Formats: sequence, C-alpha cells, structure tokens
Amino acid sequence: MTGCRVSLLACALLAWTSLVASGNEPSRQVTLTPAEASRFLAQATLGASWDEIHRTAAIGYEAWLDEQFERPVGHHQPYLDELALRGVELEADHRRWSWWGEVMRGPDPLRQRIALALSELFVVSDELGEIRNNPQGLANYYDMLLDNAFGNYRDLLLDVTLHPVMGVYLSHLGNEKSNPAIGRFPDENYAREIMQLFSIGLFRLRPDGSFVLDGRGQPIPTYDNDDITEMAKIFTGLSFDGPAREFRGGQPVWTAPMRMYDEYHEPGPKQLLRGRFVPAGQTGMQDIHDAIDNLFEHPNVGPFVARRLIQRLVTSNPSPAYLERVSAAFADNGAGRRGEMRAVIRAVLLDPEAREWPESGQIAHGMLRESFLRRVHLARAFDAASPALLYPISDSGAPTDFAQRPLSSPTVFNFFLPDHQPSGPIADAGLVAPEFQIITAVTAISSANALQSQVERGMNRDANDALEVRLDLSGEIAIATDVRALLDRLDLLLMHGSMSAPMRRVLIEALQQLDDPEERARMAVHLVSISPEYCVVR
Amino acid sequence: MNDDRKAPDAPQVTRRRFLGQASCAAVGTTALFNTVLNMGMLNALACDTPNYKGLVCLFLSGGIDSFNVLVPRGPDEYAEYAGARADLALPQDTLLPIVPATPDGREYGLHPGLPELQALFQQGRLALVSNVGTLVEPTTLEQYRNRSVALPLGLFSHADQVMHWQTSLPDQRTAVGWAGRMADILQAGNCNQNISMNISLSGSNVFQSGQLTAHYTIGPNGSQGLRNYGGPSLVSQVRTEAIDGLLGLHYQHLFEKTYAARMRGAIDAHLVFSEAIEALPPLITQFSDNSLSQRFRMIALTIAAREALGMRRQTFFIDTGGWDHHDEVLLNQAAMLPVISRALGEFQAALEELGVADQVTTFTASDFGRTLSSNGRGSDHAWGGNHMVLGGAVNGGDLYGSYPPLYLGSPLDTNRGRLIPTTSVDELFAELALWFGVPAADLELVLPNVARFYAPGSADPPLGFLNIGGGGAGLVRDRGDRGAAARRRGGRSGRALERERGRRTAR
Repeated sequence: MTGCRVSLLACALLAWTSLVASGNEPSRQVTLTPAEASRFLAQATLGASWDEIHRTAAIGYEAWLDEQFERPVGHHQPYLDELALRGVELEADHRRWSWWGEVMRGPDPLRQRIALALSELFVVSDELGEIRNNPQGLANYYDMLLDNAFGNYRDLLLDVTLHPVMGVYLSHLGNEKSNPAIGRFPDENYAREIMQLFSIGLFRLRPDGSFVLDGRGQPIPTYDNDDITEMAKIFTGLSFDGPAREFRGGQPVWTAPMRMYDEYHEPGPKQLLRGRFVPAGQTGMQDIHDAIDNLFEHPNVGPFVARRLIQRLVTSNPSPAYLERVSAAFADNGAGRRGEMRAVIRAVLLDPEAREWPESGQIAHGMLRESFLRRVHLARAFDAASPALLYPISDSGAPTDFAQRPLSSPTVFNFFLPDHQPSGPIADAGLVAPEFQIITAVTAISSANALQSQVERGMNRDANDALEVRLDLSGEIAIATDVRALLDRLDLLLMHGSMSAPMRRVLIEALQQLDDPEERARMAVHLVSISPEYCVVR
Repeated sequence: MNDDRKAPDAPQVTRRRFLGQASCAAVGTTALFNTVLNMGMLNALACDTPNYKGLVCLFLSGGIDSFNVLVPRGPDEYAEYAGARADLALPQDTLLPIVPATPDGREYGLHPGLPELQALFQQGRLALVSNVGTLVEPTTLEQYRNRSVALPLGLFSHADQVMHWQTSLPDQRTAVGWAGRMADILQAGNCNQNISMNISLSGSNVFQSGQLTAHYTIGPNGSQGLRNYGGPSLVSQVRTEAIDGLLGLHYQHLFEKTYAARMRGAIDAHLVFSEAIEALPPLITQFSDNSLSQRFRMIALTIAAREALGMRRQTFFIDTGGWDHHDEVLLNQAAMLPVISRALGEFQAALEELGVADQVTTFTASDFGRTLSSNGRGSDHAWGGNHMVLGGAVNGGDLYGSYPPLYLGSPLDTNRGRLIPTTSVDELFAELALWFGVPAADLELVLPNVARFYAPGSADPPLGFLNIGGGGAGLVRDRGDRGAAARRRGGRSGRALERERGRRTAR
C-alpha cells in the first residue's frame, strides 16, 4: 500500500515538474505496479487479461486513456447486417452474440465499458417485444451510445431522444399534438423521463451532488407537472423516417433517427425550464434543439451525470468533493467546453478518490460488482473463446441467474436504483449500494451456481463443439501444483492484489485437498468469483 | 398534526423496546433472523401469536390504469366516464356487472378481462377501494393549486411513488417499508427465527424491508440452493468447506459484510425452507403455467408449510410489472388483466383448499393511477386509483372509499383527469395492519402518518373492508355489521369528508 502512495506521489511530482519544465505537457512515462494497473482496469474496462494488466502498468493511466480515446469503435450492428445479408432471419439472440463478440474482441475496452454504463442510464430494453424483434435497431442504439461515449453529452441527449428504439420504448414515436375536440393530450412519458432519468433528476442539486434545500429543509423539485405537460408538447411530431414519409403506419426504419413531421407537432410557444420558452412558429426540430439545450445547460446535469458514472465505474458513495471535481470537469473540459465526455471520464477515473489505494479503515469505499459483470469479467480475464472464434452466447438464463442482462432491464429505471439502500449496516450508515438491489437470497445463490457452470462447462451449449465458448485456464492450470502461486496469480488478475490473509488461508486449506491441477484451478477461480472480497471492488 | 410525532424507531412498545435493546448487534447486521437465532433471548416471546395470518401484496408496477378496472356502468355515469376517457373508454356492454352491497346511486362494472374477480366480488370475497393514493395530509384541489399543502415527494414519478406506496411515508425518502416495520414488531411472534416473516417472490423491495428485519426471497420454484452444497464427493466437500470458511470470516467492509451475510442467510434458510416445502402433499388446485400464477402457487405452498416453518405471521410480496401504458392501454390491459384475474382466482381456490381462506388477505397496489384523458391510445401518470382486497376475512361485494366523479375539471381533477386521492394509502394500510395483528397502540409505529387520516384508537375501523377480530387487534368488529361501514362510506365524500378530515387533523 505504501508503494502505491509513493508512486502516486511520484506521479504527481513528475506531472508537476513536467508542467514547470515543458509547459502543459503531462508526463507519459509513469509506470505502475501491476496491482495498480489491475485495479484501474477493473474500473475502466469490463475485465482485463494478464497481458493487458502488465501492458497498462508499463504505460500508465494517462497514456492508456489517451490510447483508448483514439481506438476505432467496435460497433455491434455490422455483424447483424452481415447475417441479414446472408439471409439469416435475425433474432434477439444474434444481437447478444454481437455484443459478446465486441466486448471480447473489440478494439475499444474503455468505450465498451462506458457504453454499457450509458445503457444503464439511457435505458431501453428488449423485454419490450417491439425492441426484441428488431435486433438491428437495438444494436444501432448501442452503437449510438458507443459513438457518443467520448463525445459531448448534449449530442448524446439529442441522439438518444431521436432514436426510434427510444421512441418506441418511451412512446414518443408517433406522439401527436393535442386535439381538445377529441380530448387528446400529448404523451408525457418521454418529457418526464428525459428530465428525471437522463439529465437533471427530480431535485435541485449543488455541484457536489447534495440537494439544495428550501426553508423547511426539504429538497426543491426541478420541475412540476405543468412543466411536464409543456415539455410533452415539445416531443410531438416524431416518427420513423420511412421512405414514404408517413407519420402513422409508415414503414419502420429502426436504424435511422426519427424524423419530425411538423404537421403533427404541437404549434405555439412552449414553456421550458428556468423561465425559458420556445417561441411560436418554430419547426418541431428547432423546438427539440431548444429543449435539449435548456436541459443540457441546467446546472443539475453535471452532478447528476457525475454521480451516475462514478457509481457505475468506481464507488457507490462518492464524497461531495469527488462529485464536485467531476461536475467541474463536466462544466468545463479545461478548454471552455461543457459536457465533454472525455474530460468527465478522465475526472472519474483519475480522481484521487478513484486512484488512491483504500485504507483498511475505509469500510464503505468501492462498490458491489454488478451481478452480470462477474460473468463478463471471468470471460475477459480468462480470454474465453470458441474454436470458431465466434461468441454465440445467448445468456438466456442470465435474467434469472443474475437478475441482469445487458439491454434487458425490466424497466426504464434500470436493474437497480442509484439510491438503493440494502437494510442492515449499509442503510444504517446512511449509505447506498445500488447493485445490492438484485442480490437476493435467490440470486446470491443462482449467480454462484451460474458462475460455477461458466468455469466448469463454459458459457454456452452448442451442438457444434467449435461454437462452444470456454474460459482458458491454461495459465492457471500450469502453476496449480503450487497453490500459493495460483492464488497470487488470481489475486492480481481478479482482485488487484487485495485478497486478505484470512481469505487466502481459507482457500489454501481447501485447495490443498485437491490434487488434480485442473480441478484445483477451476475450484480456485469459482471460489474467488463468489467470495465477498472479490464481489466488492475496492 | 404534531411535529414531534415519534419516529418510527422510537422505543414505544414493550416488545419493540425489548427487541431494540436486545439486538443492538442485530441492527448492524443484514438479517434479524441470523442474529436472533443465536441470542436465545426471544424464546420467551416466541410463538405467542395465536392463529396464523398471511398478508399478500400484489404490486402492479408501472402504474395501472385502474379507472378501466372499476368502471361506472349506468347510463349517466358511463357517459361521464366515456366523455373523459375518449378513445380509452371500454365499451359499456363489455363491462362485467357487479352490484355493490351499499348502493350509491351508480352502477358499476369490472374490466371484461376479470371474470374470476367478478365472481369473487359476488361471493363476498373481494372488495374494491376507490380512488386511493399517497397523501402527506388531506388535500383539496385549492390547496394543491396554491401549494398550501405538502405533496408527496416526487409525485407522479414511478420510483418515488412505488417507494411511497411501500413505505406509506410520502413526505420522506426512506428505505424502510410498512411491512418491514410490522415485522420489526411482530417477527418475534413467529416460532422460527431462521426465516423472515416477510417473504418476497419478486426480489428486493422496500415494502418488506424493516429497520431490524430483512425479507427472505424465494422464486416461483421456492428457495434456491447452492449446487452440491454439503454433497458427498470430495470436490463438493472442499467447496462447501471453503464457502463456509469464506462466509465465516469477519468482514469490516460494510459491503463485504452485507454480501457475506446475505449469502450465508440464503444458504441456511434454504435448508429449512426446502425441507418444509418438499414434505408437503401436492396441491389439488391447478395453477396456470405463467410466472405470476406460479408465484402465487409458491405462496400457497409456503402457507401450507406454515406449521413446519413455525410461522404465525407472514407477508408476501409479488411485483408484476408492465402497467405503464402510455401507449395501447386497451390492447395491453385486455392481454394482461385476465392473467391477474386467473392467478387471484387460483390463489383464492388454493387457500380454500388449505382451509385458510379467512386467514389470508391479498391486496393490490401500484405506483399511481393514470390520467383519465388520453394521450392517443395511452394514459399518463396520475395519482388516485382503484384497488382490490381479496380474502375470506374481507367484507366483500362492496366498494369502499369514495368513487370519484370522472368528468374532466371535477373538484378532484388537478389536470387532464389526474385525480387527488380521496382515500389515503394510510387508511387502506391501517385496516390491513390492524387485521394482521398490529395492536392499535402500535399503529403509528407502522404507519407514522396515519393519525392525519384516522385516529388509531378509534372504535371504528379505518375503512371497514376487513373483519378485524381477534389476533390481538385493538378492534373487534362483527362481520355482519355492515350498516356502520355503509354509513361511514356514505359520509366519505365531498364536504362531509373534508369536515371529518378537518376534525382529525385538528387533534
């Protein structure tokens, strides 16, 4: 631990000297311990291999991030397009195969990690039949998240708003202007959720994420229902951009943004938030741009987005100071631009609160690993592959086993709420732990069983052996005769060297009873994957 | 209202205080049942609850459009309904007629997808509660408009209203639900402290989370066992030993501690639970092959195993989602409501088979009601809605609360047919809690805001839809005494209601 602090200090010193010596040129030559690199990659990726950990240790955080920002995008739709061209009738599972393919083999681990986080913020779900039945559309939505992951939050908000998959999910596709004669009003669904879930939240926030309170000590709502009914008018007139340009009943086009049909858009001026309004006589698309600007400029967005990204990547309960630093990066990327995701991601991952090694006295730092992400982590850490190098993994059991599967959330509120408090010591301490919401007496066990299957039998069953995806434990099996060496390796690979001595003692005692190296290695991986110390990323 | 109202965790009750003091350690752990098990102190209190009672919450998440569940059917009132609902109105001749025992001058019908519930209503097993919702205090349209009254935090938002329906504390953001608070008081009355009084068929929920007690989650097939745990092979023995070792370590980190406790509790409870369920004879009642019916079947089995499990009081929670019908509400409800109706019919039949129909009460809940007006084939988030209470102890075949006028611009309409509730969830829940066995003197521990709507020591029940008798409740009400309830219902509308509330809140 001391070593880490020293090296961080060294890092800061180097950065400082390089600033003084050569202007604004940050240092590129900071080496890390493998444990530090492993911990960083546990936050910044969906899992890292032994080689990637050591490579990152050699180049340092900054260089790794810079490199990731420039990597090509591992899009998910092309694989589906290719299948469709070959005459395959596309099903929901094909998109999952593509998801696994890019997550495992894509060039852009950071981008894939951020896109998954964004998919839990801008939630759409193939639990809805219309989305399930259009896997290209859903892959296109995911690619839109990937494309915007290192872009600007305002573009992200606009692209999400205009995507037909979101239009179907939150029912603003085909939403019409009011018609008092037949008692019809604009659908309020998207207007409500874009504010509550995608941008500003329910209550006014300070830059450090805390509630602004009124005279009675109560949080102050950011909007009321009149604001919703006004905002609902903005999101009218959008529908598929089909060849025939029909608002109603036109041919669905799932892979292009929705089109504005002005004749179905609510005319007249509309009230926005914070005293702004859109004037009468604008086109529908101008209204939408104005509304997106109005939300994007709201002071809540920085702290709102900061908390959600920090919770997904680093810790459930960031300090106000950490939140404020990330909010500041959202407000200004250092070059005067607001909402730049690269600056936000840097701020989240390079903050001292993310990087400093937690002291043993910090009994609440970090987060519970997302249930399903343990499965992904094992796959990536042990380079899961099929002989055909394809990933026909359908995860059909995951919604039951893990209560989670990417893009299959039960509601727009994601698999878990950002302020979930499990009863017991976490709630008693006034803390939140979102991921615990899906760890129940059923799923704590069913996920453990599923991980055992994954380690022992692979990630799918297929009549064709060449398509069965299995973990590669050869590196572990090779050293398994030496239990301590085996545990050292797993400790670095999966737990960034944080395994406690008591945990190690329990594992040594158990594993020594198994003679077969393969059996020993598999048992070791499974036990680590369900252990309390592994399940909490600190 | 008095502002110095005691906090829900204030030590007010003997048993409660005993629990509070005895289990200082327990407060710091996930599950009461783990810690209490080891204390041995509660034996003196255990098993003192006389007869079994079960309370089942069916949460229809998403916010069900319940003004298409209970629909006015007579010519005048149907015209009013159809005028407000426009393209969302169900055709008059498709409604399943029901005849409430207490006439209010209107005729009513149920959604055509609810034949089992229509039958249960006519058999006196089902009651309906009209226009109920979350309220911080009694609220009029004028007060709503002037903002001279406190409103539920995050009113009209899913996550917040789900939370408030489950906590009955719409002026707070708390993770402790009212069934959790009941368990904090009543859990010790069960003979077995290994398994929580509160059992969820739908995972984590606020409703059943207490200060001291956690809920126990099972699935449609019962509890979940760790594969080969305790098995005879060497590999199984090694795994079992290692898992016991890992979960037995002392964890300082709160998340590790919580995770370890959750897993340990799950492994232990499964051993007890699965043994009790496996010993049961099969149910004769057939349940449909869908997740909802299968979960109700599992509840029936759990109730059947109550003696083996040592349970005198249990709550159950099912969340069945997909009711957020901003679009295609008619099509979706036509597909989804029959599933609900069948499942409830099957469940009630199973309870009759088990001879516990009078001891189990099921109620529906949801995020909120929906706008009466249409957004073009759908409806939006609103406030008050209609709900069902089912069981042998229910004074069924009648409507409770006050069915609201449905024309747009009525004195309850905040806009677009978003109706201010005329009955608070506190009143609904108070009736359920008193029946369940919460002493009247403890009602405010369970429902801290209830006195704003109902005087806990009152000789009259909150709404009258349950036959509250025995079981330690502070009230004994003759099941045949429907006159008093009818008189109260008759008075629960318009100005009379406001006067009544005025009296209550002036305390």
